[in-house]
Amino acid sequence: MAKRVLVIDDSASVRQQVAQALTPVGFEIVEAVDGLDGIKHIEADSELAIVICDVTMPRMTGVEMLEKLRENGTRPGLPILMLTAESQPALLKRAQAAGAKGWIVKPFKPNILVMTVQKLAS
Amino acid sequence: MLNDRRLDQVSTLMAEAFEEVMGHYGPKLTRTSVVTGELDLAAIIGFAGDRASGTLAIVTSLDGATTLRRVAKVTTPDADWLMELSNQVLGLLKRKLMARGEHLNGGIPTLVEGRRLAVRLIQPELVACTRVWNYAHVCISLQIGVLLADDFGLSEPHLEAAIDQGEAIVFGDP
Repeated sequence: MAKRVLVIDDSASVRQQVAQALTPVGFEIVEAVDGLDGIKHIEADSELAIVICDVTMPRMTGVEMLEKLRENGTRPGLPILMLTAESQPALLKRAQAAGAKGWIVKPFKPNILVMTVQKLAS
Repeated sequence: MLNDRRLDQVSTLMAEAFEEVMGHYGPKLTRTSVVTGELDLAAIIGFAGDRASGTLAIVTSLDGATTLRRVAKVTTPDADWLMELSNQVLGLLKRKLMARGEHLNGGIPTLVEGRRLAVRLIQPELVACTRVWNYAHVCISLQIGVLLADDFGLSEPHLEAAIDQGEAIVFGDP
């Protein structure tokens, strides 16, 4: 059975690029457009194996989403991988402290994304 | 008063960032000094830090936006990719500045569409610089408008990035 991945990014192009990388290796993709939308999906879908999340988004950033999930105790074991153009060390530390399991800087290499997702979702 | 050298440094790094991001997706661009054709679409993204703030804009024609989107191998709206491209270019520019001791936060891209856009990043204290490329018969223009504090200055790169473009960190891995 395909493992389900939630991709959260305000760019439809990035969501498509992630799907292009992961669908051929057996992942099923679900999409959200920002942190608020992401929380709704995470709360509603117990079958999610992993979340891939941008940082800078309207309404709620990726790090704010992580902190809200942690505050609410929502799906504490769900791995969340940040996929973002950001690379500030302080932001990485904040995301890690809030429960992120990994970080990839855009533009991403599809094989690196696949390896990282397979590792975290296993 | 801003001297040309500091603006030149920042705009050179901006140009490098654009070429490196585009290189990830494949094409080699040709630098030029003249904007040709009509410019109809602009993706604009702001940035701010302790000693520098401003705006970066990628401006191109409708055909240029389609060409850029096809290079990225996506079928989403051209404007969506143009905005994401500006986000990735700013991300790499921020990393280059971070390596030289300057930290910036970035905003969310916005889009301006019209016919024959004349995009000028204007505020009285901002100074701007434009770099132009040709690729596959389309013209792509990058403009950066910056407000630099008197003590803004770029050193040689001396700070290592926590993570490089395209790389992955799994937290907790040795």
